[in-house]
Amino acid sequence: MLRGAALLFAALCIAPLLVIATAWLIAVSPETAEAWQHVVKYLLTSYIIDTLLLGFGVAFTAVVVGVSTAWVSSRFSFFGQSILQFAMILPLAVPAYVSAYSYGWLFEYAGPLQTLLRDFTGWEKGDYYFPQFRNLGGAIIVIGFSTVPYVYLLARTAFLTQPLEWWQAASSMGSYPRHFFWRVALPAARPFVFAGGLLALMEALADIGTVSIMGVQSFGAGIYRSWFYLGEPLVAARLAAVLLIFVFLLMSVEAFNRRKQRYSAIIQNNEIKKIPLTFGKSIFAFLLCLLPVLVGFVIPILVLLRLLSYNKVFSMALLDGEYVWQTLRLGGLSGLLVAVVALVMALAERFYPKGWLRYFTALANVGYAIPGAILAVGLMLLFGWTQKYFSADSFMTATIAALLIAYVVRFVATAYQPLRSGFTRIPQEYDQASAALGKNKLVTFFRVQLPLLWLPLSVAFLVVFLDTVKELSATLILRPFDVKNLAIVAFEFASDDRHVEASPYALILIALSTVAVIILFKLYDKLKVYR
Amino acid sequence: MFKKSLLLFAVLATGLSALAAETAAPKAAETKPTEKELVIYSARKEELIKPLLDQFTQKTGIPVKMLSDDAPKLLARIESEGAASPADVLITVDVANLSIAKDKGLFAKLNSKTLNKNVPALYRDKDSEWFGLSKRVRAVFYNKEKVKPEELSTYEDLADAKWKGNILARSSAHPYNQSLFAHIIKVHGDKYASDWAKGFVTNLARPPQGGDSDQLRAVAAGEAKLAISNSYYYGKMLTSELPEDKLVAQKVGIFFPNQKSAKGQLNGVHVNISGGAVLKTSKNAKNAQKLLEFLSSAEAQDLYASLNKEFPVLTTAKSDSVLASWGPFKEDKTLLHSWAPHSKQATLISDQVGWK
Repeated sequence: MLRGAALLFAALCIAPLLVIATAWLIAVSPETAEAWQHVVKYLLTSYIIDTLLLGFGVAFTAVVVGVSTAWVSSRFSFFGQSILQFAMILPLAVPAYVSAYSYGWLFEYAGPLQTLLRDFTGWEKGDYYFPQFRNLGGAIIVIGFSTVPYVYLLARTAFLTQPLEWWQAASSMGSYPRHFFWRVALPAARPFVFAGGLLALMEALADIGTVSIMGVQSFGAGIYRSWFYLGEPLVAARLAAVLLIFVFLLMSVEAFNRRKQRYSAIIQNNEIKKIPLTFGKSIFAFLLCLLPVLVGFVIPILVLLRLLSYNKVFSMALLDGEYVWQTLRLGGLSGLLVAVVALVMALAERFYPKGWLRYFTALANVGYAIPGAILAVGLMLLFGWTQKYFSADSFMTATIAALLIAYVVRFVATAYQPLRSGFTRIPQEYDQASAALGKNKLVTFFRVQLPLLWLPLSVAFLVVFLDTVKELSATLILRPFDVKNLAIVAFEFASDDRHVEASPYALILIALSTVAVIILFKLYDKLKVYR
Repeated sequence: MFKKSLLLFAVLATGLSALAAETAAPKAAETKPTEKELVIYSARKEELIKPLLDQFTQKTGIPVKMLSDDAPKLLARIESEGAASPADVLITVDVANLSIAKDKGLFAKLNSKTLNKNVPALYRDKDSEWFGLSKRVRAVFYNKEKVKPEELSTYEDLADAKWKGNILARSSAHPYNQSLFAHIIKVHGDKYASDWAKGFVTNLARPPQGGDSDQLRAVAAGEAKLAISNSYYYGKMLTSELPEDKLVAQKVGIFFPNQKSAKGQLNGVHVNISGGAVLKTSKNAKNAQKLLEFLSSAEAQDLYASLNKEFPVLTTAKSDSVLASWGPFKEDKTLLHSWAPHSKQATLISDQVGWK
């Protein structure tokens, strides 16, 4: 039963990816073959280079900033720390494409900064140097800082839950915190850091919005361009298949990395006494932790507020509560559904850790690296084919079902991670004790595991909720009529160059997400207590 | 703890079903449009087309609902929905999109006297499948302080070395540029077009970025002397309620190229259309046709001009004061469906010459 359900869900997640991968097996028309040759000759090199630079640049940024801030805020006490340690994850509330647009506008020639500079100095074009923001570097900064919280949260949890005895033993031997970090804390936290970095990397690979604003020729951009501007779905699918293989390789490395470390322990009363920093170091720590908050949250919001202030005719009547409700409803529904699907898969892995099933569940997690638009169209192809076997009157996109399936495929990885680590923290002995008492798996799940899982479950729900609320491209194409959330309204204005009108919707979207992010952080803090 | 988790589970289950019911209930009613309800898939955003649709409903009593996204994705959706598709009408910008959809066999042939009368032959499909509803002129815009309109002449001239580092354009992948370039390919052939694009790319002041309005803003700020943009962006800035937009529009002038062009060049300004078609799978084709007829009628055409600053296709439509202030201009009369198929070639050449 359990394995059947898990297999079904995994198959559902893998099917659209398989559709994409079959592109290499289908015989192509001469025209498509020519288009593929064209892509190989003129574009593939830059796709590969830009994708690698973007992916690893983003992962590097997220890991360096995420780990250093997690370390500083989990071990030391300094000025502003209590606020900063949670403000650090606020960037999760800002969609990367909003941030990208904000920075693009802020730094461009006609934007406010350069205009101010010219007004002040009387300079003209060519009289001064000003760095370009709309390029690969800009994209790395935007996506990198928007994914810092992934690494930060995981690394912070890792640091906070490391046995206190390590720390005590190290200090009794006269080790400096610096040495302890490099020799003990970081190596022990490596699987967490790696997982966070991988999430950041996958986010970068799946991005279309930011790269198109920044003019980066990544695989995501190339897939989109081949499909929608060149009109060659098969060329797009071939590129997507290459991307999939790349992601799968990365995930295998991660799985291998994790296998070497498998421990489960419940640590009670793990309150670390934080080391107070001197004034100078305190300032440094403060600035370090402030940086990602400024870059990923405060500045984009200030830019949006500036845009909003241009709007003299803006009236609150515009802000139909309907959009907010739709946003909440879609996010909530998606969060619940994806969390349940991920729970079934994680549960199956718990009870059958050595079986063939785990390969399927691993594969099912790859969807996170596929751009939403590509996944959506892959799903539509799939629906189109299956439709022939059902009544001609029904079609998936008539209801919210198609959209929810897309969310499951795309976001199951984000819900799966916290649940799996939630399971690993429940000692196997508990299951064995339950079994020894003659209880079956169902009872074991409800009476033993679920009570210990409700925090990871809530985390899974919130993470998916946040992702859904910010999701744009799959929502746009798979939604039924009348489904119009804040992201879509903001996008419709923005795509028509009406950024001033788009700004209030983007701001409300961020405000909603901020609430979810704050709850998420509170849960994370509780999570570490009983672990 | 057991109770707690049971409770949690119950909350999850009820929440899930409640939300699902909430979402599914109204949808169920919508899967089959009633006799009169018209379903529109539109690549034009709701903001632009809503006033027109409202007026249609007011006049005819036919309720309308719409779904908007980019044209290629809407086409994919229509294909995926197949015979069950609820869509009656497709409204989109850019003739290339219309001709791709036609080639896929998605449109119904219309036999409408009204449409044939209102829409000039140049702006409708030769097989009466799609109809242009507004004209979109791709013009050249210049910074009034730096350029005199006398220095400007043709699209072809934009590749001349004298403009080096002084032109702005959005991405070549965008249909507006794709179509202009396809038009150039149709008139001049691949070889010339490729050389032209090379020169044009060298003349770009920065890598392509942003939308058409962004190019106008940058020209006003002095980042480059010229930009290519569709004219209605400029028209809307001129009439904008935002002082910042007005300021931009005041600094920028509009120029219709190729008015006095040499033989072999485009013989007038490049005109693209926004248009509509009735889908073959429509179960409400009569009302669908009514909508297109309404959109081509004088009252709707006036709105296209007054609200969106696009040029009406209906020759007798009332003139908008802003549009009239730009003066009359000559349009290139190359049949739209003759250059639309070159769009793909346009993208390929753009890649080769590095026009991002």
